[in-house]
Amino acid sequence: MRTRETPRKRTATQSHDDRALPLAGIRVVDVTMGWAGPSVTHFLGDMGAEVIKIEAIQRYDWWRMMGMELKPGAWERRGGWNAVNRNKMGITLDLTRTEGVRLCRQLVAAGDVFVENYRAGVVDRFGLGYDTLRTVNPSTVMLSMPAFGMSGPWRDYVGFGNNVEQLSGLPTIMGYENGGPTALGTGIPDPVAGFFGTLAVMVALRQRRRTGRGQWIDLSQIEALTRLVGDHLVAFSMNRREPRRMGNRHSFAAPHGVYPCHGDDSWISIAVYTDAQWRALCSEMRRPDLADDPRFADSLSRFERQDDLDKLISVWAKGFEHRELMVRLQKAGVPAGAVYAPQEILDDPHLQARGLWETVTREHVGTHAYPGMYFKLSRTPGRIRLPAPTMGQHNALILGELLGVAQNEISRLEREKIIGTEPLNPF
Amino acid sequence: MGELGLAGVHVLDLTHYISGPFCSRLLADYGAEVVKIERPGSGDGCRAVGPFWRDTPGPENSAPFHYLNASKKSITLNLKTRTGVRLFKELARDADIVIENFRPGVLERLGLSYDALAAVNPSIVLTRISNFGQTGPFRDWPGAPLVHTSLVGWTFLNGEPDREPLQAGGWSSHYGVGVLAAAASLFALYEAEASGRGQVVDISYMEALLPLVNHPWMEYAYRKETRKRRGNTFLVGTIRPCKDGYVGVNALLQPQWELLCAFLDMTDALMDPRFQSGIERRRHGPEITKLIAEKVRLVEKEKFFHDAQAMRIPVGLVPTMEEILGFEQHRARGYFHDITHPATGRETQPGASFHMGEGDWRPPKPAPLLGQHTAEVLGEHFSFTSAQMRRLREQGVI
Repeated sequence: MRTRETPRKRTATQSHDDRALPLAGIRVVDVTMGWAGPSVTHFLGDMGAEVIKIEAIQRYDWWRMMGMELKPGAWERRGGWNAVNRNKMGITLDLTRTEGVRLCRQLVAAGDVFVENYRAGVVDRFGLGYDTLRTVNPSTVMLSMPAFGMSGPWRDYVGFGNNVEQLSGLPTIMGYENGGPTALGTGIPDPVAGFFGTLAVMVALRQRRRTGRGQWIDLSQIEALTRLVGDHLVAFSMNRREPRRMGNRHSFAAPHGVYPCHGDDSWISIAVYTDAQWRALCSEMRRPDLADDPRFADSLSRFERQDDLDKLISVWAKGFEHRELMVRLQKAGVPAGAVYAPQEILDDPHLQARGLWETVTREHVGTHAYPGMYFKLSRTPGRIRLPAPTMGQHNALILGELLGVAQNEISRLEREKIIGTEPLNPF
Repeated sequence: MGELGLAGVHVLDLTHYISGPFCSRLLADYGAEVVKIERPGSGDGCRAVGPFWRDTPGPENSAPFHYLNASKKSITLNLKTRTGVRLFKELARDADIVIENFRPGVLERLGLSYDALAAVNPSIVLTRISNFGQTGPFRDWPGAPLVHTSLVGWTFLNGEPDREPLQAGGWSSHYGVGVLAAAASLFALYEAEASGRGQVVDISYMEALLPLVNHPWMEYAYRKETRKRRGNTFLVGTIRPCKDGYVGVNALLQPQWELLCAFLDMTDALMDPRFQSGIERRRHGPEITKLIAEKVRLVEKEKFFHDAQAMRIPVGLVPTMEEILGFEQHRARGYFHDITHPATGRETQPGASFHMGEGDWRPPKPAPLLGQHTAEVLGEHFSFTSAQMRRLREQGVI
């Protein structure tokens, strides 16, 4: 059993600067798959924690293959997976066998944080429930983040991003005017749960520093996501009235919409909050008559005549390339944003000037620019220290160096398929 | 149960509207003492954002404000006066985190730059949330949720393919940034509590929203794969109208697809060579959507949801706010909290984002009235006499 004071083995992944990062010296054992749990552990990794991601060659992270052709090696070539799993080391362990579980427990004993996002009860069946892990290491912070939480009538229900999103109320409030509820186009429930999970681990680590004790955190993804409609729930409890879907409109900004620009499927967003912004927009449109028109004098009257305004703006905006129009409007003080297709972000001058992108070389995919830190800490900013691991890449390092498993034992584990570097039944 | 995880953490909250207040609300939920500093007179602009209690605008009637500022204290302080700035710096001496979401440069003009704060308290963490961050060519541009989500590709991917892109619903993008800002603030706090040195946490919407998008720029960089919005067309799921509303019909993994076909009696689809893998189903989303739409047209959403879940299919339904408030799962876990606000009476607040084994969380206390705690907080720190307090009030400082 290890306490905070015990000297610990360190794996050779940290340079001198990285030892100053907020979570330097924190070791995270990660059995999560998909996008939610792995988001938590990449943020912890970004801030200096040593993250050990555990998959099994019998059952590897299914998110590696999301949207991929079923081809050999495809599990190493998905960009999204490689972006979300940076700053981690990767090992494989068959957790359905005693020996795999024993090694996993040894990692927990040598670690600080354990993160899982299985359905309630699944890790208990592996022998990795909190009651077991706390005896292995009482200072373990364990984060469980199942879709519906660890208790309640839905605890055994199956969940992932889509149905968590549907049940959260977010699609309820999103959709075209007079249209139905609409799925969010990006799958935000997972990364939002990841943000909340990161926050939860940090609350627990701070508490552990004061008490010396670990704890178990129950994060229900549906409860976390439902907080994003909290204002509507409070409003309903006050007035007993359901919210409307607003399309691209806004309750106190007008005009407020998405307008076509020059080219195919190219658009600009314009959001006019103040009368000054309205006058600036009119001036850019060379329509001083509109600025003086009493029918559009304030946001309420503009809101009521938004259909007319949308038509005028659409015709005008069509003559411009979206980025050019954004710069022009922003320089005049009008909030506007090019509706970037995802690949256009790669060329955005602002993100480049802010140093967002970091160049990373990784086996199987070569050298690419990846988004680096999503927030900037001035003194301990962090960076991409490690590319996403290939499957089982760090088996020898973690099992051998950290746990002291002998080389012939590692070979035996390989032969018995408790560890490995290729999926057994990939598809 | 032990004390709350953030017990003893003092937060000075200069933020307004959505993301900043949500960030500090989350810290308050886990035990931080959050003192919200508002402009004398009108306060946080969010007090003027509806919906309002009984549709009556007023500084104490805003539902979003009530939600975002529960469990905080409110003091008024005019930071455009020299005395106001001096008092703020005194408060910062004992604070751990200052959070602000002014435009870049405003804090510096007030004389409250990070260096000025660090001079009185070297361990202070200054979290700054802004449209585009504290540096870079767009730094001074105005922003809005629609603008931020457009610049990260989210808007482009939202909505139906044959229509204009659709904005993200509600304030979801800004709430998301608030959560990440809270986590980032705790990274800096954790470090500061060890090193004795604070730092600036620079949060740009444009960067903080990137991880919410499914990294399509990487698939483009790898193999020039582009993406287009899908609306409610099946990708791994689809929202379809049913008899009494809308259901979400989803199948992520191969076994779930097979179960779904069995459950919906779609034997032909199960055998259809076009639908044999996830990637093929993506490709044929419109056809699958049509098949599912026909099958669920007449189902009742509650029954559909529970029956399919009993077969381990990850389906959902699209609830009204009233239905969310009544979900048996939320009720069983005590998710909702009924509280009484001094100005508007009873309201229901959603509960914990997560439950901590030690200390758990702090159920919401009603959002503060404008300046409700001015006398209390300033009294604690400065032991002003009532004559001094009156003078500050007359000078427009508080």
